[in-house]
Amino acid sequence: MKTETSPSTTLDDTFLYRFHSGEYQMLNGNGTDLNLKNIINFKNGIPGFENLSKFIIVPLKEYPPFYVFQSLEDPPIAMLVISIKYFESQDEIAVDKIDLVQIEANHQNDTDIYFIIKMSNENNQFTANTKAPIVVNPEVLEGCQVILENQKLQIEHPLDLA
Amino acid sequence: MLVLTRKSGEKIRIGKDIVVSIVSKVHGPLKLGIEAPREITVYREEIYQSIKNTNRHSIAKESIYLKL
Repeated sequence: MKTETSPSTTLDDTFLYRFHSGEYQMLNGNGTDLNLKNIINFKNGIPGFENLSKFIIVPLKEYPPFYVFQSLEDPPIAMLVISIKYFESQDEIAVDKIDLVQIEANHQNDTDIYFIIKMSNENNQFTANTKAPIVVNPEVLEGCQVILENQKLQIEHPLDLA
Repeated sequence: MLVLTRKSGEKIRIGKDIVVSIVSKVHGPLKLGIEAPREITVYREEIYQSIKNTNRHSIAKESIYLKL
């Protein structure tokens, strides 16, 4: 992962700890860019949550690389995700044509790609799931979680934050 | 579980539009060919299970939910 920071951003893991420990309070309209017109349809849900199909992906303005990926259904399920733009080996991410068809996209370049972030309880290491990214076609608001064949990609890719 | 015996090149049909072919079984792993409608996704079971587990363990604490 790249560790570039823009002048207004402090990209450090303090935020991630606060987020995962529940200290970071998400408030509608405060620090977020919530737009309920952008509800993304996940036809088949995602693995583990096959019954959930309506999601939003909301940027965390104070922490630009991060977004909240949240279900709009009951129970509310939320995950922290990071844009592919912060992944140094973007060329390794090749979404299969069959998966692109599912979200009505012709090219991978027309999609937004995110990795789900996980915190390991044992060593407090943050990891990004680069093996199974969330792929969204923003034009038609269709999304899916794909599983990539590339053997170099890891379900738990260590996230190195400066 | 239904168990069928099939030779290389033979196929099985599941429902009206899924066909699984035995591509080869010479030495080593069995190769399968799967023809299915595009809305049917095909995964290796153990990879699907590990993605599922990882997704479940990536859920953030309740207090971060956007209050809608």
